[in-house]
Amino acid sequence: MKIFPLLMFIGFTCFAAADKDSDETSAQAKVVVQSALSISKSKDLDFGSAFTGDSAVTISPSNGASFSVTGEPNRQFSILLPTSVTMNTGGGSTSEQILVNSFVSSPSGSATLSAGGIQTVNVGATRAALLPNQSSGDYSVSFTVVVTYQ
Amino acid sequence: MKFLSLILILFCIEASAKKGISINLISDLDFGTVVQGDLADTVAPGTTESSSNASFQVSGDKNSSYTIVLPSGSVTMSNTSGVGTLAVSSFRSFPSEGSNGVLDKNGHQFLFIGATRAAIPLTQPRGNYAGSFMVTVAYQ
Repeated sequence: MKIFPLLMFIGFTCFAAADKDSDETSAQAKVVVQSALSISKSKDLDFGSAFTGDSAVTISPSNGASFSVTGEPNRQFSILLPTSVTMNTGGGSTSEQILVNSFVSSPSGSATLSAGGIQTVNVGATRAALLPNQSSGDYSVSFTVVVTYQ
Repeated sequence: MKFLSLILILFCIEASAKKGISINLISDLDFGTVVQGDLADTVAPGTTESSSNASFQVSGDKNSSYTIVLPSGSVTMSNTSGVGTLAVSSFRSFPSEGSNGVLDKNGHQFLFIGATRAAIPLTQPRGNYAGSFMVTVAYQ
């Protein structure tokens, strides 16, 4: 009988052709986690001592406030400075206020964190001229510097 | 006898006419780049391939329907460059797991998968995280 090998062949062919009713595959879920950006003050902006009637004074970033920014190595961030703030002593009258504006930073606008994830940002500004009747005293105010990843 | 063989061959052809089902990965599920402290994030399955969803091609018998099985719980992504893990859960797909996929007239269909990544604690070690998950398709 030659038919038997033929049937065997058909049987195996049928068996081999009975493909899978189900299949599965593996995939990956992935994410890259980078260091958070943070800024902390190392040194305040100090205009020193002055007399009533003194003219305006500008402090350059290198002599101004200093901040330490830490975050993801080599990543760029932007720096946002205040437009102006008003220092005051005691009450709220004009003679008890001194305007600070023209904030400038170094680096300015944006900067890149070092390979170690650190960058120093220095900030300078201009103190307005003092009034002839400027009240004597210690003037101060807080200002905010915002850093954001780009 | 020849007639019987012919019948068997035809039967065999008919029986094997249903192609097996297969699923192949096109792209992984990518939650991109995040920063310590970021909130949880969900990648939607979407209806087309994107840079974030996972994409697969399911192939098999034309016009046949199939069921989809996604990870039911959470999958762990591990920091490949250090310590730390992050959970991925709420897997969803398009076509959805509850309904069924239907292969087109050429026996193909794309399958897209999304999921939710857990929030990133501020103390989460930085690095590249990855974890595997399984997707199963089966004829009904």
